[in-house]
Amino acid sequence: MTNFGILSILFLLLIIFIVVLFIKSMSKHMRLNQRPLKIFIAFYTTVLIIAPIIYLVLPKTEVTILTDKMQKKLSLENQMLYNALFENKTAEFDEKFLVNEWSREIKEKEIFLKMMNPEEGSQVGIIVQQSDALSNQITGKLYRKNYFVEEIHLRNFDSVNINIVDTLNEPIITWEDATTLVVKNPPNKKLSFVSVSDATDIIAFNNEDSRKNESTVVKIKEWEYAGPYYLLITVPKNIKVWSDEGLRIYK
Amino acid sequence: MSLTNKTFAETLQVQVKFKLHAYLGMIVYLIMVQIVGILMSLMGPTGMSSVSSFIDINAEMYTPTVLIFLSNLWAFYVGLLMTRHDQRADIMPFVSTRIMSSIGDVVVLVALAVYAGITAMLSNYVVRIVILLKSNKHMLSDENMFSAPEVFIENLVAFIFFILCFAAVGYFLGMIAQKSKKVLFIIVAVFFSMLFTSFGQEILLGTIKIAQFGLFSFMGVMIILSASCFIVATFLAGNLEVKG
Repeated sequence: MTNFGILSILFLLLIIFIVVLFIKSMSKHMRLNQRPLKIFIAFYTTVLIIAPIIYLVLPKTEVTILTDKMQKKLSLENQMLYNALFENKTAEFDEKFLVNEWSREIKEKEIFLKMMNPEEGSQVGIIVQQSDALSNQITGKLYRKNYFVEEIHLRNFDSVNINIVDTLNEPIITWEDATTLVVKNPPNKKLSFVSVSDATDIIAFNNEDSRKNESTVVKIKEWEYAGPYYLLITVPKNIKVWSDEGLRIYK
Repeated sequence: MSLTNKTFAETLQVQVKFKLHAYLGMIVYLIMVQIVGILMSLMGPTGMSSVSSFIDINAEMYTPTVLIFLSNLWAFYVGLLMTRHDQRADIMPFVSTRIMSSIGDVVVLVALAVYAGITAMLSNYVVRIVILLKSNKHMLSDENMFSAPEVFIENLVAFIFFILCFAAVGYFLGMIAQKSKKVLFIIVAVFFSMLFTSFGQEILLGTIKIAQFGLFSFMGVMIILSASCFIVATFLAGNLEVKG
């Protein structure tokens, strides 16, 4: 047993001593009559019995915890979206994944794409598609793929995975000037989760499970391709596209 | 001399009823302790956070650990209180034999442990309601008595035995203190010396490991410990003199 272990036991004993003293002093100063006492106990017990029922009927913002099957389905959808982006077959995914789209008429023969925070890594995968159109109109489509938190692992409890696709902030896409399109990473979204359980780690059931020795962690899954967003830009062939960060251009 | 002959069960029933009535005030203290436990649970959840590109995740976990811990302390105190000289002297005129009185004490402590265990677990639902009402955080892992009844029952049973064990240890130490303060001092000294010696630490850790192996081994350890404390205390109670 480490010194820390001994200290924690001594601390525990100190708390026991304080609580016993507290109850003792209460019992000295309080003289309770039997009838009000019984009413008080009955009231408290009734409140506690009703509490689970109230809890059950209260509306909750519960998170859907992903099963392995659901996760595989989401990953497959991500893969299909990725393939569709390069095969120009995004129409069938628009309903689920398209966040917004825009178009812009430009007079110049070239445009520049700029990532505002390239050092943070590319959170928005930019894909440039060249069209045969002779107009000077360029269009942009922002897609958001399935994105999930992998392993919110609570000590003594199973880890859970959740899809947070609808909760992320969107990247900010603006035109700096007539020819420069700027993509800026969105501010971090703050998410708070609460877990309540009837189980406690005082009594470590199923202690043989190695999970018990792991600490409480939240791991965030790294996405398979680029960030959680894709920006699909369609430009006419006669317009050249430049970017310091590199581009995926296809015809 | 009595004109009617009462059976053992009838006498015990009367005893238990009388003692439960006498210790009704203790339940009020349990309620107060549990209210403190509810407030402490709300103030100090286990939390962790993770920061990544795009998201900062914060997760908080609430369990009935504090409620069980405080209920244990209460049970320990009640066990200790039952053996106090003035308490025994008050009750003695209504007691047929000392052994009967001790058996009555054990039954009362079991009843109080069951009540404390159930109310501690239910108090956790008051905590849940307050969490739901005070914040709009996403509910993550919600194991409750409706969605996971096996978790609720498993923990309820374990907590009752845990609380009973504390009550039994309190009862045992209280009885030792009534018998001889020196013996109590020796027991406390041995316990503390165990904490600081490797042999003693091995015994303590071995017992904890056996208790942690599963629900039944945990209950086994608690039952053996509680039964040992109660049997020795009952034996000691038989030799105690009660002076009015």
